[in-house]
Amino acid sequence: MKENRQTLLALAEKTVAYGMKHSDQIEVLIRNNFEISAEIILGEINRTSKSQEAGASIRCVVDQRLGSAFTNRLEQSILEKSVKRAIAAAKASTSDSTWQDFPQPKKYPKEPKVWDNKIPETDPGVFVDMSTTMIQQTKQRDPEIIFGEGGAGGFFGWTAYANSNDIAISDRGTGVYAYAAFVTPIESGMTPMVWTIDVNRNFQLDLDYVVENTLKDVHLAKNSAKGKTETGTVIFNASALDKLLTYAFMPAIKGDNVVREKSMLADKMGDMVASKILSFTDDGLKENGYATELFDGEGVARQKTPLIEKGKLRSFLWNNYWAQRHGGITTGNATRNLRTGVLNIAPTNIVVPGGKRSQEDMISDIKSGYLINGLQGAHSSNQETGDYSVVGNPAFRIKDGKLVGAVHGLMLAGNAFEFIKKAEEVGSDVRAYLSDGGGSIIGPSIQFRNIQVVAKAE
Amino acid sequence: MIRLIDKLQKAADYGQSLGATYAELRAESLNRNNSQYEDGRVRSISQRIEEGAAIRVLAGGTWGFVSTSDLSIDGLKSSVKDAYSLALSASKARNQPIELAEIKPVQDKVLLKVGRNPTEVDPDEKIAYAAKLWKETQRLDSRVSAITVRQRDGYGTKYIATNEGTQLEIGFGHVHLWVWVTAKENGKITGSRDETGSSSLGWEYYEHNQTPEVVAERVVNRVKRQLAGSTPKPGSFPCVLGPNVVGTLAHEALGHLGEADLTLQSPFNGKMGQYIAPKGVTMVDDGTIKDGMGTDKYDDEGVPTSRVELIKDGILHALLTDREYAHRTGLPASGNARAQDYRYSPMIRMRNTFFERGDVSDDELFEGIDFGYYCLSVAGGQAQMNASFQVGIQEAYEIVNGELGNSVTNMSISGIATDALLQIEGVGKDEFRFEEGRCGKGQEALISDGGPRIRFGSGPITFGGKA
Repeated sequence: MKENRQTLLALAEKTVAYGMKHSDQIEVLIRNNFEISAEIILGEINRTSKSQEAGASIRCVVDQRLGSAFTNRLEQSILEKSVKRAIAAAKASTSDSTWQDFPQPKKYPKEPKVWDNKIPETDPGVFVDMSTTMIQQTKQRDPEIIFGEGGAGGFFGWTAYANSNDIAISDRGTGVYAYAAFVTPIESGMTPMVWTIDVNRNFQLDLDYVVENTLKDVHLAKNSAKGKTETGTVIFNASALDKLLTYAFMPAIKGDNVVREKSMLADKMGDMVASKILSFTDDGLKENGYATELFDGEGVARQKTPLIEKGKLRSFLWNNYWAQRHGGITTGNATRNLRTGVLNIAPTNIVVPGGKRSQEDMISDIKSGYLINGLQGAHSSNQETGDYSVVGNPAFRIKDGKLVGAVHGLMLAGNAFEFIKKAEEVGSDVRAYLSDGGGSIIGPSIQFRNIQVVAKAE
Repeated sequence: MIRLIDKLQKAADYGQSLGATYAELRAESLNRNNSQYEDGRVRSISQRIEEGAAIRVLAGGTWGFVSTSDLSIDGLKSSVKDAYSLALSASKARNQPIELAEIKPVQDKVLLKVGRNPTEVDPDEKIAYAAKLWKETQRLDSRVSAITVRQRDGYGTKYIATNEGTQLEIGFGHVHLWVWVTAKENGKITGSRDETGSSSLGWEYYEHNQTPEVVAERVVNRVKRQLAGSTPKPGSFPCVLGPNVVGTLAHEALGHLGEADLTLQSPFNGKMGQYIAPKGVTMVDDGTIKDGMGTDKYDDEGVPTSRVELIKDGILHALLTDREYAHRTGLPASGNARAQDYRYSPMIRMRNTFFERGDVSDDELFEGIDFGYYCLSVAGGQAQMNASFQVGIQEAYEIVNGELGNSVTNMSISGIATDALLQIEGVGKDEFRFEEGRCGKGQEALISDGGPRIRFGSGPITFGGKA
């Protein structure tokens, strides 16, 4: 395993040395990731898979022209051919007068603990057994449930980065996951699909939680409840909140949109942009975080960046290119699509501190409201205005302090920048969820007031 | 030198010798290009060659799957062995063994003839296209302040060999364009998107069909309406949905329920042969139509593609299948097994999904609506297993007394698709254009969808506006 890391780094450094002979600047990012999984479909194990995602992304600069190339074959001769393709792409590109340089060497933090030796050595049969356990537990608890999808798996991989400014660094990471998605027939057809996932960077999974939490939601969804078009109290769990933030709010936090005058928050640094009870931090080094790693897609150290503190806007997210254009410093939030060569800005682990009361206690005080555990269509929000018009699914009706059933077709419409000013309580139920933004959100349920909901006509 | 297809065949035969019920090797050798252009600057331009193979083995009643970039005969055989072991690792845990519908093995070479291979077009020409698009949007409306243009294309060959004797070499290619335009006025910022592409034409698609002028006009018109638009009202109203929205509804809200792997966990389960829509309503997924973005001669299991009438004259008539679900449901294998690339196992996917034209004129569709909405262009959509759908709308108008009124902005529609179908009041008779796009069901698939204008009565469709 150790050789993998060293081999990748040596390949990256050799390729940089080769590229320096033919271009002004060069960087090489190499990844070699593996995944082993067992997949459940309709209550039976359907497939056991082993896949490898290997690739090298090369960027070259010639006369301030940037070109990139990708190869999925990690051999020196192929990488050198890819350097030539990247140079050809650079020569075909236009000169970018704002281009400065690839990142410079800086001190890296202590390597985060996101590697478990057991995971790469795990026999696929272990994930089959985990999946079988979840199937059996579900059948024992409720034989009527349709175990639509699910499974368990493990992933591990190595990354190496080198550039012409003498950065040469490597990293490694592992993880395991288990998930379950259930539906069950009801009088009007079918419940919404409800699902739970548990992800851990070390070999620890809570299969009971996955099954029990999914069962709890699907049982609640079996009872249908009527919604009412109103402006009222709504609790979002962190997963549903993530979807709204990812598509309607976070684009305004990204530095490229600030520079391109596409962000409504561009001139709001230090201002109150959210409820004073809300704080969000982007933490790329969070212990056990799904997106935790030593360095970002440009070889820059990951870091902890407070974005909103008690409602006040504290920072935008930057990668090296956009930070240089802005005259600032990167926050280590470069994310790279190896295949397309596009380097974007993306959050890592968004951490929202929890409050004092449980979600149950928060619900017990609500006479009339909704609990939103999933959102449909958040990706169709207007990323510039922050306007959203989405469906809560699953959405549960709260009446007289209790959850009474699922509301089908409950819409929520409004503006994300106004929405986050309306938070009135943060729950204590902090959990990690995978984010639609590519990383994770580690946060609690949050209660909002005066939220427009639109119920379908009966 | 051994041809790739022969190496795949040897490895598939090796799978059979190990004891596999079925061994399938899919490989691809493709050139792919991507570029991103923003506000007068090239942000990235990338070229790549991808070669890899997907090995799928059915043994002991379960699947084993391995993807690899090692295309040597030894490498392929080793992957087949791995896939065989993976399949066996789960076989004891499965009660009902997976079986496949029988098909007639085919041997074929399918050539893709395009005017200009997009991967051989000089990058300068691609950048010039994006630059012209940027200039044209600004010329059409000075309030346009930013643009993102993503171009991608691919060209090459896909190979399939199975132990049953299927041997295919399929020419593969596509061009795809995604545009986002931002406009500003008096402190208001808004944006609109456009997406288009072809899997049967090469670079000539941009020279003759989707020129910078054509794309710019379409996307600028949308952003103009976003700037001028008023906020929609919340609630349920009668509406007329235009071809782009009808297509999205066909794909997102109904098509997914008709994918046999999902049907068994959806409200369509048990409804075959029953009326689920008014008479006269027919919805089809067709992998054979000329120039469709989702058109192929064969699917990724080597099954010929077909026209599947999911809803025929109001009745749930057929489902989309792969070989596994064809056996499970007793329906024909419809040629809908598709994999994004060699890193993925095939799964049931739509191709070109649409409502058939009806017999109602435009005037009749709008007649008698005192207040409602005409929804023209989609900003994205998503469906759930309870048939709940959401479609974001980026271009819409009020309908007032049967006539088009003001434009509205930032709206979405939702409903329960199975309820909405029954409330169709009229299907237009005009011809329509298919919209090209991508579907994400865990993997990306290039698809198209469309349909004539359709009128829905008040009730089944909810509009997410602000009070």
